Amino acid sequence: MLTLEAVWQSYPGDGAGILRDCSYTFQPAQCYAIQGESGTGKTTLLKVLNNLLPIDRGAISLDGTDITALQPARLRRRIALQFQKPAFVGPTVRDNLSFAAHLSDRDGLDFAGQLEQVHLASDLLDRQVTSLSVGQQQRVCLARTLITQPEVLLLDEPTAALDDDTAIKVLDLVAGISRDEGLLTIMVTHRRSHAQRLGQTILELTGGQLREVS
Amino acid sequence: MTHPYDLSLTDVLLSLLLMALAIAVARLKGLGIEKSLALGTVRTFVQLTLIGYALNFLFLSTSLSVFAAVALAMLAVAAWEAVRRQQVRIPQFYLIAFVSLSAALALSTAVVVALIIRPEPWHSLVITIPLTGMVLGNSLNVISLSADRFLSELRLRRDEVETALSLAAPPAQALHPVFKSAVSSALIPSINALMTVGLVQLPGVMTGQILAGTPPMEAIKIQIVIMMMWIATGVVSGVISTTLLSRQLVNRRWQVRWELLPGD
Repeated sequence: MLTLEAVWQSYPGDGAGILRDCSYTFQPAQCYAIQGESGTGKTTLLKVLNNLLPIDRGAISLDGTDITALQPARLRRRIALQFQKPAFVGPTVRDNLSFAAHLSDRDGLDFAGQLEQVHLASDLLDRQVTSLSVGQQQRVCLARTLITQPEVLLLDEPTAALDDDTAIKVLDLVAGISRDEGLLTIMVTHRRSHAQRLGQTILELTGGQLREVS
Repeated sequence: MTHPYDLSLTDVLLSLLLMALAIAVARLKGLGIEKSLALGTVRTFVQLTLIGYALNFLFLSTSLSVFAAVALAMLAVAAWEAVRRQQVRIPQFYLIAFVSLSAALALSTAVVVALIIRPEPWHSLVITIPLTGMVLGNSLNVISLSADRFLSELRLRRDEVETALSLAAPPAQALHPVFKSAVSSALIPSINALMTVGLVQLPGVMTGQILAGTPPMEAIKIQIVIMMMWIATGVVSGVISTTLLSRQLVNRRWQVRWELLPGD
């Protein structure tokens, strides 16, 4: 269970704040989709949950423990974040999976199996990530994120750069993995149809607060 | 020491012909740097004359406390200059520069002065002041360049850094590509100088010694020592300053303090 209690977050000089007295409880093993106008702070919310950005006031807790009480590495393995734009920490697919595996003490991991989990062929392992399509890059990033064996999966616009057919495949893939692994999944998306396809609960971030819309 | 080319004041003033030529060309081509050239010329004459008198006075001293005071003053000015050159105001950067420059100075004093040149006394100002100036000047450049590059690379590679951090990488690992790029690029001028020394240009110290009558084979010995000192202190000061800078930019929650960077 991931809980926000009266969370405030702002950037320096931004008096109004991005998150304003934001409270919500995300239930375990559920899929949430968050919508909102551009610039309302959806990405900021995910970064706050992953501890990449600090909050000004309030509290965020995971299963009753304040996330600031958790060691940063431990927290980020439990609450994983995948960014909108695929970013890589090494030149090849294998380098990227190794990076995550090493950090998670899973050095002997079967990388081919990890790729299969996201419906990618194992012969991509030694390919340069820059030679992959955006859809493949997204799935490599997803495979890399899943290596950390998170309890909470945060996805920032995972389908933004994909055509509709590829986007639906990625959404169904995420839904399947979330269901199989029992993950709490929170996806930010600006496309209503994608929110409805993945989200068991759809939320809107507006005025710095989360509200259920369905 | 013999001075085969002892210059009179008139000889020195003749060098103004070169500056007059430079200013004339600058004016002809509308470069807009004439005033700076003129001011720089006046400052060169005034500053070097003053430092000449100061060195004449200081070189008479064999006091350890005078050495310490001079070294401290040079460190303080160099650290201030490092801060002044930064376009982005980073908290504690003066301290970062001061510590890094001190480490470079300690290294050069320990190895070059105490181990290689071995003057009597070890803190002889005739030896230590010129060496301190060279070490601090080069280290200051490395610190400034690496800090500038670190901050710009950090902004450019924000996605990569945040991705690594989000995968639970410790800050030092997440920032390593930025760190590597910053320090290595700041050292490029020094490494280039190392590669081309003697081929493209004769270094200033060696040129000065040869003009002052030192046999070339003697002059190259001290030049080699100085080149080694120059590179080692540059590497040490760049690594220390960039390490401290990166720690300054990440808090204990492993969050990058993006608000300190311009545009964020």
